[in-house]
Amino acid sequence: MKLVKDYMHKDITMLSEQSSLREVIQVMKRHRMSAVSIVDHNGYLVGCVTAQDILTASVPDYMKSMYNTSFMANIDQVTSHLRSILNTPAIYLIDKKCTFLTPTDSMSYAADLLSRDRRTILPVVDEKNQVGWITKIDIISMALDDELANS
Amino acid sequence: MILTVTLNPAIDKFLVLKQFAVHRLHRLDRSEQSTISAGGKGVNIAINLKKLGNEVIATGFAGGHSGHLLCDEIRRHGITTSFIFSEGLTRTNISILDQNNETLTGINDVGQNIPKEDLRLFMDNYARMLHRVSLVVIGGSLPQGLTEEVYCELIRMAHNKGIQVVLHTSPNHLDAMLDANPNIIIPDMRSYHELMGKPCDGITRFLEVGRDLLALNPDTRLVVFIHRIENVIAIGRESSYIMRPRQLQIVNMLGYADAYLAGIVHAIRQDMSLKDSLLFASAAGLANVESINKDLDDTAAIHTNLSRIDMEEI
Repeated sequence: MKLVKDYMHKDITMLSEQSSLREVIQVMKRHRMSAVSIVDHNGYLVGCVTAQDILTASVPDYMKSMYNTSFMANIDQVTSHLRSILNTPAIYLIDKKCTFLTPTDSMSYAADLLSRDRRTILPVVDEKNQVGWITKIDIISMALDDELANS
Repeated sequence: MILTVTLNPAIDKFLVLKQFAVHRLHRLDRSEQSTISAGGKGVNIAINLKKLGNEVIATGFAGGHSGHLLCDEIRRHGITTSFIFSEGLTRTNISILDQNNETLTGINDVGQNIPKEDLRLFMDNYARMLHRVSLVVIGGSLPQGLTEEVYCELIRMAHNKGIQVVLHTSPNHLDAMLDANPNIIIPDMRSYHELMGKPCDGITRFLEVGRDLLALNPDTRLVVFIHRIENVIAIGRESSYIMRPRQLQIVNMLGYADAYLAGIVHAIRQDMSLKDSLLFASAAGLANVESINKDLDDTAAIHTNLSRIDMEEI
């Protein structure tokens, strides 16, 4: 069986609960990651902040009521609202419904979870410690690995 | 789990040429080699430790596209990365091996300039890492903007958690941090002949300075001078040893110290005795210098090399 631990991206870039949104964006940009793990003082995973979470937070509340129509927020309104919340601690931005994988989960389960939850990236956690990430790219690139193995 | 700290890592560009001359254009032919790999002392030690079967997390500073190359290369070996990406680029160190003249030329870049804010992120991250590791290995030079106080603090933080620290750096940094008390000190004496303000070359001087280091640092249990591969001197609290390899055939000295370091750390983790650990480390160093590669590519050679190390108590 193909296991998560054999395919995961073994990077554990993380920020503390008190880190600001400014730091979260900076780390995402420098690390070229679409999510950052947020951990407590012991290093235990509390949750993740994804680029999608930040985009959602960047739309001012008064605009959200119009969201289900064909409304599209103006980029200047989004960035100026984002600038006004740059000092917000990461803990207020984490996705509380964020699911995670364990190293011994199967890749089938990982693929299912990623697609069911409509996510691009999921943290891999071993006894509260994050040990890596699985992305949709990791799932789809398995097709190329299999092709290589079978050729 | 072992944590390796490389505050000033590098991309190693390694050129193996038949002959190297300054002031002329050299085009590589097919018989020559050009490789790029993740480098910096702590990183090299991490790669060797992984090859010996240990689980490793590598931390430090990285930056820009060369920083991503660095981390990708480290992960390719199965090591977990936890680097702080800072301003600027991860440096490139160039080594040129001239096979005809048997010379090794190195050009080491300065490295990134680390702002205070990124140092804080690094220290916070290091503190969290200490919750999941049982040994810390610190290796190499400091990037611009940081002083030896950072190394002292890293050692103190590890000791506060009861975690031992192995330190491998040059006298430049070592002199400034003598009160930090690392558990094993392996001075990087390649470009230096003095340590603690005293001349430090030759067996008698190594013994003298090693004993001074032990006297000053109550937690230090071992000092090893390794750069003279034909006479490696280990100074312990109860006994000191000299290790001499037989029929040494040097192919490439690059990476020798990092293989030695990984060897001694691995042996200690396997609960080997001091004597066996020193023999294993020397055998690992030997396996490295007798191969063209910078990293330990043939760990089986370590076991066959063990019988080629003469050990004498001094």
